[in-house]
Amino acid sequence: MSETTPQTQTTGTVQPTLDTDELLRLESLCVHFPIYKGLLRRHTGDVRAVDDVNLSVKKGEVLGLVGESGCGKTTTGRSIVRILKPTSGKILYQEEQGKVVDLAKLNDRQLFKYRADIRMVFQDPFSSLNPRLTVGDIIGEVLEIQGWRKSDINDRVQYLLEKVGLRPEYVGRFPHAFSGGERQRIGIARALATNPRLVVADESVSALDVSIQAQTINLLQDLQEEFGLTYLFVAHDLSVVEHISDRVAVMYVGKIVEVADKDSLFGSPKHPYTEALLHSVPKPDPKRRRLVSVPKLKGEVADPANPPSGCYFHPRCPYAQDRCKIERPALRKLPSGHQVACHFAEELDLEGIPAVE
Amino acid sequence: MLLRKNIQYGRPGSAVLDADAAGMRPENLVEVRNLQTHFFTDRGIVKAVDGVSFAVPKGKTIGIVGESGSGKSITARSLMSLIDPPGRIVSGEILLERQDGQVIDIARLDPFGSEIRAIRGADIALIFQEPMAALSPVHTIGNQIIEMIQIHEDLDDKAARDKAIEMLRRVDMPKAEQRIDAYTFELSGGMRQRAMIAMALACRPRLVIADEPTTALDVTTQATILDLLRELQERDQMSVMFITHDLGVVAEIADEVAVMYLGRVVERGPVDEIFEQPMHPYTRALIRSIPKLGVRGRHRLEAISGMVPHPSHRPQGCPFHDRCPEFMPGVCDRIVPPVEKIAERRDVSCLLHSDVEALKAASEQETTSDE
Repeated sequence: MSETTPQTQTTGTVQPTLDTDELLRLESLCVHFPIYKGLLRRHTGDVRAVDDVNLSVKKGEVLGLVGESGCGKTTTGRSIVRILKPTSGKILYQEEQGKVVDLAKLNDRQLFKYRADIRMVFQDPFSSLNPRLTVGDIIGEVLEIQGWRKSDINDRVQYLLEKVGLRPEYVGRFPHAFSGGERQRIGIARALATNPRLVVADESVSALDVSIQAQTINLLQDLQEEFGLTYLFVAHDLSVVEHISDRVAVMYVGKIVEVADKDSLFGSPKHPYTEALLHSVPKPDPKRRRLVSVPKLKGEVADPANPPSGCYFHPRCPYAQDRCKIERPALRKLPSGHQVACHFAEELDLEGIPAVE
Repeated sequence: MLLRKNIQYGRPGSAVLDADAAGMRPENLVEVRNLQTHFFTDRGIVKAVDGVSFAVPKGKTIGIVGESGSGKSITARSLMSLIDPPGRIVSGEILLERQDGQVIDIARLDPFGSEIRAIRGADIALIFQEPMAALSPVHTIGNQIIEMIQIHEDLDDKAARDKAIEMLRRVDMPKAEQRIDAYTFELSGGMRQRAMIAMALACRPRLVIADEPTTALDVTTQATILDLLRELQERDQMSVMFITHDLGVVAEIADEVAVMYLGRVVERGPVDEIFEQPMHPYTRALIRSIPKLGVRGRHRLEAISGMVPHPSHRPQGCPFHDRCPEFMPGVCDRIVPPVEKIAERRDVSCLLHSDVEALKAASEQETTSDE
């Protein structure tokens, strides 16, 4: 990223800067998991779950992150909230006052402050809530850790419960007394407790029933407007991502293959993988099933421990040519503003999903 | 076994019926009539399936749609008589036309008896949602398919193995000759689901029940599995009962749709009609509540208020009335809507489409005669 102008601080370290509208920027982020084999537990390779990812999140936007399972979406989300420590690369975060920190370099004590700013909503509303804590304790725990006073915590918890559409009287109940949708609301209240600036929602509506899913999506949108939140919305359901996102990033085997604003990514994808994903989604309209024009994606996601040569997508790509087997395409910006990692992005005429009113 | 002595399983009367006496329509393979499957728990009776009627046409796919708690999986398990105590089929008929033209009422069979064991796998096969939970982790997929084949067919080991390989080839399992000796953990999610489909189809069942077979899979894998099911169905002319909560999947694969809510079928009809002219407010709300690909502007989804009540706290009258946007006070919370036949293979159970006055009079008469 050429915008980064190094500044020398009194401490002597290079201080990176972000654009004023950027909240977070990942620079060459890598998260590798080592593989050990044999009696001596020799280090024989790495699972490159996230491999050289560059991505920026703008203030107040919803950035959708999509891809098949095993593409590194969750690992990316988890390293942003620093549940995982990245192997290398930077996670640049711009504080409210404009100061930029690299979250990847901080230790647990230094991270403490930022844990309140960047929060997470998990996928499974059953396993992500401690069954032995009351709802009040689940939501209030983080506030206690952040040093809030007891009476303030109670007020805050009541306020949050109301905000997510649960009765404040339920504060003393345990998670088992709630349905899946209500539990997910508790998880959202917990994420919002500290007035965060960025919320990483990892498949947060995937486990919910159709009617509950719609309620939860509406709730997430309302809360975003009310509190000016920024979401990184990780999901595999493309229709949900299209509904909620402003911009969308597509991942394949640890790499970002395409980033664009929602309309152009869904309307005119530039990467063959995006096209294939879009056309795999079942359309809730029986008439459209007879209009299949794009061939279905065959094969499976490449093994991130042993990825193919050249472009990782070439073994499954219907448009692959010899160059794709040798040369790995870099993520580059097209004149339209699309970022794409494909050698033939300009030549290919890929089919998107036409907009309906 | 102790339990078996105390509870009468299977209901009296002969299960084998004459085709004419059963009154089955010739185009149907299975007819379910007023099926009730209840669970007798310590906290009371849970009516998981409460008066379900539908038919599975020959060589076609019927999609059963519903949210969790709607009873769609219990309906499917009832068809195989796989209801574990404290649950059992309380009443109703599940008529199945067998290969020889004989009609059998599964609801009357002893769920532990030999007759139902001959039907499971051979006439009706089940594909589960989670292949990892349904397949044995300590046997190779080949052994599991071979076991299934040898239970129903008199084949020696060599012939059964050849048949298993052929089945794996038919489901497009790459390198079938080698993969037959693979354990489930060596296969990816999509391949496990293929192995499970191969196993289900090994004895050429006439009906395949697929219970959310693609829910745990990626969209790309889901698309190929749906294609595969459609292809196999066309080739073998089998019937498929496809259970899912995903309306997109139903639109993609089903010929007919039955929408379930709280243990009842609220609407049933051909797939085009269900999506174009849904008649039940629940179906309409369900279709409206899902985000649709291609709708780009920022907007709110039309969510259904509230949630599915627990089957043990079923609301009075119409089970959907407390969430229904077209709720009629004094009517919907009093009268249980009957199934109204709108057209051939199309019915709905909503008081908007019933003669309310007649029903009111009938229910009043009932209450006075009770006194």
